[in-house]
Parts: sequence; structure tokens; C-alpha cells
Amino acid sequence: MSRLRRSALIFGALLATLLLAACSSQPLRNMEPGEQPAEDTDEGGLWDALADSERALQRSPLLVRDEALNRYVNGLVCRYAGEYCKDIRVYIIRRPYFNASMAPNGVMQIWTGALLRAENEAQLGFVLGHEIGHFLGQHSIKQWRRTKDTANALSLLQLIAAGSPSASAGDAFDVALFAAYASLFKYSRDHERESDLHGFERSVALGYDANQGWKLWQALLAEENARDRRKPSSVFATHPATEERLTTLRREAEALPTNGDGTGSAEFSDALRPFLTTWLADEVQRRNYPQTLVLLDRLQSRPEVPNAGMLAYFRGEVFRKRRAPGDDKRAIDAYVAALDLPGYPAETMRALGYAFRRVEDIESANEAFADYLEARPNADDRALIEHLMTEPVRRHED
Amino acid sequence: MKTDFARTLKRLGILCALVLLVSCSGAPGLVRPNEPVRVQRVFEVQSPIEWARYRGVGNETWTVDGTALNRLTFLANIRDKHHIFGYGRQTRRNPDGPFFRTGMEPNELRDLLVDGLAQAGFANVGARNLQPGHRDGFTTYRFDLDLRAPNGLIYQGHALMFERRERLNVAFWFAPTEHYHARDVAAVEQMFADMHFRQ
Amino acid sequence: MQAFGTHAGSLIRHRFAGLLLALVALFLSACSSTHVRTDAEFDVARDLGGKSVVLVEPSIQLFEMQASGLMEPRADWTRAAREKLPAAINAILDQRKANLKPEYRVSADLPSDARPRQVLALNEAVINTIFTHSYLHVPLPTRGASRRKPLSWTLGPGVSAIREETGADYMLTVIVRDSYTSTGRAALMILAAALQIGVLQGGQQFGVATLVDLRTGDVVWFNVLSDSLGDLRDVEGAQATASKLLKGLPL
Repeated sequence: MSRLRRSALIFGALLATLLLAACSSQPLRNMEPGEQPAEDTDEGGLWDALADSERALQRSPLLVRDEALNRYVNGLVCRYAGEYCKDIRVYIIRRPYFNASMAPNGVMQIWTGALLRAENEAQLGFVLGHEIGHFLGQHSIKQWRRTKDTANALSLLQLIAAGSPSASAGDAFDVALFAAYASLFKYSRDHERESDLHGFERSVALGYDANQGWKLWQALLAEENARDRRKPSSVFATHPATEERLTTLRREAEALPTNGDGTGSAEFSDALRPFLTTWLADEVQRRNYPQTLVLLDRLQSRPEVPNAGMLAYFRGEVFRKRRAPGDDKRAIDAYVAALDLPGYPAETMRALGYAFRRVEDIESANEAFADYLEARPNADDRALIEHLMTEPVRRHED
Repeated sequence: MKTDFARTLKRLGILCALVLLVSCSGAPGLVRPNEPVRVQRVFEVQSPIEWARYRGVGNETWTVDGTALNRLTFLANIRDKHHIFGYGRQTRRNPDGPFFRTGMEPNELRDLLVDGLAQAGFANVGARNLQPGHRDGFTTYRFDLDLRAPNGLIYQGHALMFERRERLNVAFWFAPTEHYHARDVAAVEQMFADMHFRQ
Repeated sequence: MQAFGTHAGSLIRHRFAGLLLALVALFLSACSSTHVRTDAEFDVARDLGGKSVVLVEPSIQLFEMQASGLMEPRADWTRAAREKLPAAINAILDQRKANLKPEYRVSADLPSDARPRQVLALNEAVINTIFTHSYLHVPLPTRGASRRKPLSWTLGPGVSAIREETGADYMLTVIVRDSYTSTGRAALMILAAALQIGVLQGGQQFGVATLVDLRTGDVVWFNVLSDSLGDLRDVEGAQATASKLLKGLPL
């Protein structure tokens, strides 16, 4: 390596290190309720850009605008956020995955997949409290600064590696890259742990059963384990393993001298009930069959099953879509069971008709189709169903 | 609370697959009004209006003004256990998704397209008015579609599906409800009505 | 260390190459271009004198480019630009005897299915389409092979929803993303050039603007601005950017 190159490298490295050091020591803002970051700070910049994303969220076709549901969720957020209530704006997003997120400017998103999975108010509250923990801990801005510094350091490393004639410098860069990204993810896992504890502590302070947090993780763990695909590697998981979070929260709950036993108001089920059919249909549309089956089991075992007939119908739908060996029979059983339970939709009879066709039982199929047309004389697929009732079954092998 | 990278990647993959339906083709052609065109050796189509035509392998996308403003897609010869948008094959490791199975009933065929479009990032995808038909010795199913782009733009259109030699063939069209759907709906309905299939 | 002479030679070559690269970087960073298209009748039939124009949901965001290339949004710069650019646009329109109506934003609690929302969502789709086929030159045979083809896209007569809300004759859409090189990035750029590694991209100004006739829905004018020297943080810079952004708008 030439002398100029070497000295340029050293000079550059020093300069960059200095610049990096200058921004990484930035102190966090003293966050008072109702306060916004100064405009000329990196956080102020993020808030401003996020205002644009918030506008996009407000016109998203996925935004659930139902007044009663929003009022209920907002009320619960306020209980958990206390004096920071006014700083947080909640958006309910219609997506069938367990997710909630918190932006530094107070925009909280909660996905309908999370609402569907929370068993009671205490579990939903724990999730909201967790997100509020991210907000109060200023995790987004910490993460942003960390990302910025890591990326800057990496670009410098990249230059040094590219400028160096030896292959080993390139290797060193790869190692550095790996370590840097791994440390970013670890940072984020620490935030998750901290927020879990915040959600836990707020739940306890509000008199909810302290065990509901880990029970929610346990339910999610069961879904995770039902997945028959490879899981992402643990080094890069942005979140600590569900199992670890479960154990931590359980230990915390057991260490409490006294424990509230409240799981929350009946308002919870009143607010969510009108949406269960839509959200379950969205859930089935994901076609992640094993997870959906675990979820349906859990919904069915709740102390007050919202309407058992609908759950059984959707169980049949999962088997119908999955088409694994034996699923034709399972689908029929589920639809038949639904017809004996309260709250099954009229589509159950149509689905049963289709299911019987798949096992080449034309007579039962036509009976079920006739029942469907009787229940829904103005069905938009009447012509189709009448056509199927005269159509021979096609043989198929699985 | 939980970011599922695999899911995001898959979503991106399907979106790419949908985009690729357009971009992996060679130079686009022009479909002239009232001239019969053979599409992917399955469909025989005659259109009262002009289209730009992007040919892929096993699929074609036609558009008048750009695919965000109107989109007519043909999918030909989808084999048993293959993804409706060509995104892989159903295997033991990859069991979940809208994969075609030979002998599917009309409701299942409809769900394939609806679930596939939802996976590709469209919101509130709905299907109505599923109707059977017979053409050129095949049983066809058609239905109306409505869906929303992530920015909220509402699209409407319709789809036609049928099985031929144990393989699935699909034609679907959609355009924004604002202006474009109404402008072309009569022409496209006529195309769908006049369409024929090779034996 | 064995052959000092060769090293000395390479040292000189390095120095010149570094200088050359730095010059190239400077030259590249001084690039500025616009891409103006108008509809077929624009020059002949359109007279915007005395007509009113409404700026609809302008999207302006300024960033500071970090050493790594990461874009950090800057609220203070953005606020300045959101004031200065519309003011500069207004001044140009004024000069040409058209008037600018107050900026229009659809109210946040209007659901996404409402008509004005749908028209603006379609406007987004149309802008993306024109950008793809006119600016990026993705071929669209229904619009002919010529790259200089006049514009022929429309939002349809539904734009009357916007005309009723604003009372304007034309709708102007402005999207601007503007980034500025941070000190860290500048140091890295110099370092990269000196080490002959390559030319790193610095801050860039990028804008798209369209004008839609609110009677027919036709997009009558479209421009893409790309500039690495533009600056929206001060009045003069905003004026210069506005005049480049509104280039070819024959008022």
C-alpha cells in the first residue's frame, strides 16, 4: 500500500470516527406529556416525515374506522398511557397478523390479527402497554441513531476494505458487517424485553391479572410451533424468542406478593364481536393452515365462545382450502358440526354441498345445496348452485 | 410487536411475480382492434379496442394506458400444485398458499385468485356473482372482482377461469372505478363473451 | 519496499487519478435536467391567462444524506421549503396572469372511498404511469414508439369533484424530494475519490410536477426535475427550483 493511501486511510478513519462519535453521544430528550422534539433535531425530522406517513395511514383502505371499536381501544390506551394519553394516536389496521407498532411521534398501529388473538382486555392491554413502553423508552429514536452510526461506520469500513489490495481486508469487512447487523438486532431485542416489562408493570398497576401477559405469549408460541416451515435464525431475530419472553413474564408474575385477578370488562367482547366473522375470514385467507387451526382451537376454548357455529364453519374452510389427505372428511365433519351450533352462517350449507361433491356423495351434496338456496333464495350464485346440482362430479386424486 | 421477515419476503416475492408477469417479457406488441389474436396457445381473443401486449412465459398482460390504469392478465396452463401467480410449487416444506389443484370446484378456483391478489398486496379483495358457463366444450366460471390498491384506489373488474387438460387457465381484468372501469367495461365484456379456447 | 521507484511512480499516478476523479465527481454533481411533456393541443389551444390553479396536497420533504448514504429527514429545512417553494410558484403564476388558489388538502376524516380521495388516488396512479412510460421510457405500444410523443393521459371527468371543492380551473401536483450532503458524506466522498474507489453520490434534488385540466381531467403538462445543485432552503434557491419545476408551463 502506498504511503499516500495509507495516510489517507488513517486520516479518513480518524475524521469519520470523530464525526461518528459526535452524533452517537446525543442525549435523549426529556419527554414531558404533550411535548414535541425541537424542529432542528434528528427526532424533529423523523416526526415531520412521519406526519406524512400518518396521512397515508388515514386514507389507507385497511384502516378500520368503526367508531365504537376505536372508542374502546382508545379508552384502553389512555388507561395504560396515563398522562401521555393525548400523545398517542391509535390506528386499527385490517391485517390478519399478530402485530402492533409504535412510531416515535405517537402513532400506534394495532392490527386486527392481534385483536383477534387477545383473549380478554388484560391481554390486549398488555400489548398496548408494551407499545407504550416503546414510546416512553424512546426506542425508535435510539434505534434510528444506532442504525445511522452503524451504517456510517460500515460505509467507512467498506471503503477501507475496497481500497485495500488484500483479500483479507474484504473478509474483515464481511465479519464486521455481520457483527454490526447482529448488534443492531440485539439492541432491538433489549427494547422488546424492556417494553414487555413496562406492559407487565402497567397491567399490575391497573389491577389486571399479572398472568395474562405470559398467557398471551404462550398462545402465540403454540401458533409459532405449529408452523411447519423453518424459522428465521436466532441471531437476526428482531425479537427475543417467544419462549424466553414467556418465561421472564411468568417469573415476574409469580414473584408478585399479591395478584389482581381482573381480566377486564365485558366491553372487550362487545366491542370486538361484530368483527369476528370478517377477521376470521381474513385469517383463513392467509392460508397458513396449521396456525389458523391452533387459533381456532383457542377461540373455541374461551370461557364464553362468541358463536361456536361460526368457528366450526371456519374450521371446515381451513380443511377445504388445505386439501391434505383426509381433509375432505374433516371439512364435512366441521360443517356438519357447525349446523348443530348457534351462529353458523348460511354459507355453511353451500360449503357442505361442495365438500360432499369432493367425496362424490352427490345426493348429500344436492341436499345441502337445496338447503342453502332455501335459506338464501336471492343468493348471487343461485345459477351456479343450480348448475352444480345437475352436473356430475369430476374424479380427482390427491 | 412481531415482524415476520419471511412473510415480508414472501409478499415481496409474490408482488415481484406479479410485476414480472409484465417485465420478463420481450418487446411488447400491439393488439389491433377487431383482429383475432391467439394468446399463449390457449385463448383466442378479439378485441374492439387497442391494447399494448406484454408476453411472458405462460402469461400475458395487456393494458391500454399502463397496468395501474387497466390490466388484463392471461394465465395459461397452470399445473397441479403450482401457485396461481407462478410463485413456486406446493411442497411439504411450502404447504401454504394459493396453489392450484386439478379438479377444483368453482368456489375453490375463485378463492385462488382472490387470495392470490390479497397476498400480492391488494386490500379488501372481494368476488361476487360467480356464474357457470360452457364454451368450446369446457365448463367456465366467471365472477366480478373488486379490490383496492394500498393508496386506496378502488378497482373493479371480472375474471374467467376454466380447467383444460387438467391445467388451469385464467383471464382477469380490472381498472379503477374512477373513470377507467366505466370507459372500457363494455369492450372488455364483449371480449370475454367472444373469447374462445383451443381444444 | 523493494522497488521504491515503482512506488514513487504509482504515487504520482495515484495523485493525478485522484484529482481526475474528484473533478469528475464535481462535474457529475453539477448535473441538472428537466423532462417536459405537454398534451397535443397545449401550445396551440391552451391559454392559462386569467385562469386559476390549485396546488393539491404538495409533497415536499428534505433530507440530509448521512455518510453512509442513509437519508435523514430534516424538519427545519422541510418547513422552510414548504413555505418558500409554493410562494415562489405563486410568484411565477402571478407574473403570468394566472392566480394560485389556496392549497387544497382533503380532510383527514374523509374515508378513502370518498370521491375527492379517489380522484387524488387516481392522480397518483396516473403520475406513476406517466413517469414509467414517459420518463423511464418503458415501452407502451398504445402510445407509439416515439419518446417525444405528446401526453395523452387523463383522470376523466370525475375531477369535477376537485373543481367543486376548490373553484380552480387547473390542478397542480408537486412532489419534491431533496437531499443535501452532510459533512460526513462529503468527507467520505473525498476519501473515496482520493482512494480511486469510485464516485459516491451526494445530495440530489428530485421533483415531479403535473397540471390537470379540471374540466376534462386531462393531464396537460408533466415535468421531471433532477438537479444536484438545487437548494430549497433559501428564497433564491426556491425561486430557481420553482422556475425549473414549472418549465414549459406556457402561461
